Amino acid sequence: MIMPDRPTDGWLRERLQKTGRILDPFTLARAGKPLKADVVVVGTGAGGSAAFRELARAGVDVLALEAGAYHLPQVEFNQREDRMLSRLFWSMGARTDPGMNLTMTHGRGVGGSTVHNICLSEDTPPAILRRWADEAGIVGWDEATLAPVFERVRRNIRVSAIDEGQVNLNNAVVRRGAEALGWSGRLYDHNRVACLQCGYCVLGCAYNRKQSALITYVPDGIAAGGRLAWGCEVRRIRHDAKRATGLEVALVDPHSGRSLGSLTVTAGEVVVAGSSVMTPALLDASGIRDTGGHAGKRLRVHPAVVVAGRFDEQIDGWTGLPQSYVVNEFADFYKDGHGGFLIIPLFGHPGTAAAMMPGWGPTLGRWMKQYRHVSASTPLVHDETAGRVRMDGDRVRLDYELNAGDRQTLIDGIKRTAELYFAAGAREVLLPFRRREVVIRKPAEIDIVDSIGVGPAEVLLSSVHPQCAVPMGADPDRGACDSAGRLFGWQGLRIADGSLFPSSVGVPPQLSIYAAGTMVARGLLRDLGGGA
Amino acid sequence: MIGMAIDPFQLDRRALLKGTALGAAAALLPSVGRSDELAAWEGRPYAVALAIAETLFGRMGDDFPDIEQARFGEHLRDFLTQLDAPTRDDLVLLMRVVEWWPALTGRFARFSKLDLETRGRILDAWPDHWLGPLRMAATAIKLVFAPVYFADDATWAPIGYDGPWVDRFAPPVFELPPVDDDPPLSEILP
Repeated sequence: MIMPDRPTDGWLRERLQKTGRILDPFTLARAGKPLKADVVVVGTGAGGSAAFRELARAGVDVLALEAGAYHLPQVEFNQREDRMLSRLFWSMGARTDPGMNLTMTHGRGVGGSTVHNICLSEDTPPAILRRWADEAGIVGWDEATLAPVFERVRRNIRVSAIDEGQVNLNNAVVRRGAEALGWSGRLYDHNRVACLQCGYCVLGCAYNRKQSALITYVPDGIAAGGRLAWGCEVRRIRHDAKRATGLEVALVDPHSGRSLGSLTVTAGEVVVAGSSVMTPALLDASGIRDTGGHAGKRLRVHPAVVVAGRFDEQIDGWTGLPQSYVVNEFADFYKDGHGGFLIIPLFGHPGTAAAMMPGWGPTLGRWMKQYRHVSASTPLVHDETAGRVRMDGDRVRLDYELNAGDRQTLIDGIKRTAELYFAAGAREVLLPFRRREVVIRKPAEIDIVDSIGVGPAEVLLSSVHPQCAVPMGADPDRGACDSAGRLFGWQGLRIADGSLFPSSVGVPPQLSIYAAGTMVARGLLRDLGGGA
Repeated sequence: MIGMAIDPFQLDRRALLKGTALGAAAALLPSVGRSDELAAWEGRPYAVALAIAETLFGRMGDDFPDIEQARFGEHLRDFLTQLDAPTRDDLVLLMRVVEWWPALTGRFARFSKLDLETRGRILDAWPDHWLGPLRMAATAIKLVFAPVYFADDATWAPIGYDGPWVDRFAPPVFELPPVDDDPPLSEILP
């Protein structure tokens, strides 16, 4: 069969390119001129793109800066780990803390983490919102106020229910185990349209079926009059007398890393939305501290580890929707905003899977030979551990070590996930310990998790949901920002990403972060005296 | 930060150096100085990397391709070009620690000169080693080397992985218009 040539991206991108509002680093370097805007947004992930789009639609002169590339999915997304990890992720998807206790995956490039996420879509749970109001004194982030915001976000990224026919075997196995145990769980909503179920969501959708910010919020913002500059690595926020005045930017070819020059941006308002890793790091690099000194000190990550079951049946977990069914039996945070975990299926393509499998040599070979027969899941912990983000020389430094409560939650999560796999018919369960291969073959052996524990030497935590690093609070004693995202003690400086959350949201956070960007945009419009 | 040097697999250099006398010695070697050039990876570090790869993947079983068949060296060079200079320097340091570790433990040979079985015994001990920095190094090696080895199509057949769809299936252009019937934001957030 002769396959057609790969298509190029379609009419929308071509139309937008003609507006002259998409600025690439090569042109900017050649021009050598500073940029000016009423509002500059740093980062184009869920939060930044939402703020960008809403401000542009309101007629504000807004410029969005993105460190990574403005990818053409149907041309550049080749579904290969060795290429896509560097294209879509900071640190090739494996930023770690210095002690290698945690790997942090977060997106780089226009659309940020919405480009590589797995599309799970859930509003911020009402109990979490009540907690934010009760503990942090947040105003205006209640369920009733946010309902139309979530509706707006859902419409813009085309959220719909996942169909039964889209549940792949990895998820079906998890569901089977949960149902056998009488545990609650459900099919999620997602932001895909006419999905082909190829299974490469985490490497970017080459078919434009995932409705990420790359193909929704960002182009809509450009179409509405906003400007986008990519290949712009923000080095520092310029400020004068506690007022942000602009940015110092390095122009970089994101495909090669080659430095192209520098750029100065002057703006009346700076909105930082670089993720809960990059946002606090940028503040630190700029010498900016909130009044209470909270920024960078309250990072939450939804820590996770991988538990795998080996089955007789062929699962081929890398095909189909990677995540569709979620076990919420132990998610206590739905009740009062505190504690518990979700169990979420996940799977990796070979390189990622091999990095997570135990050992090397014969041990690794044995497990990789079982690749088609393995189901993998993770307990996703609603954490209370306070991690840190700061600059260490020219590097971003993460520090995160589970507190006692979260350790116990993670232990419970590992044990429950193992129990689930046995209920689903697993022949053996691989536990997530890194010092040695720990495989159990019957439920009675699950308690070995208690004796080994989940200290830093025992497990390698992974995170795809950094949050809370510059949290909102009613006053400087309780948070770094007010309820409109304004950094306490500063003028002209707002945060508009998951950093704002006073506690972790417990659920996959993309809708919460889009909503946060929308809320911050609305607050800024009010301050600017605009309606829209 | 937005644009600071990326730091994949960053090692706590101080922990590594303090934790292993050999690491300290390696850092003092003149050739280990920081370099922005990929050329720093030519020569011995590259040879050590290949020796490590052979140790990790050459013992997985007969079904798996060896590192030459898997074009590990080619993929490694490609991988390194995607890293920033400080991270490449970190990996050079890591390679030197591995290379000189046998000397510190009583063997009069560098790692890359040892036979496969001996190399295997050395590295097999690292994930559970009493020295934390060596456990850390084992994690770093795994995070770097596994994706490089399994980047090659030749490694996929033994595990039954069928590879990228885009190599086999190219559907027509699919691009939806943005949603443009949103009410003004002020209508939903007065």
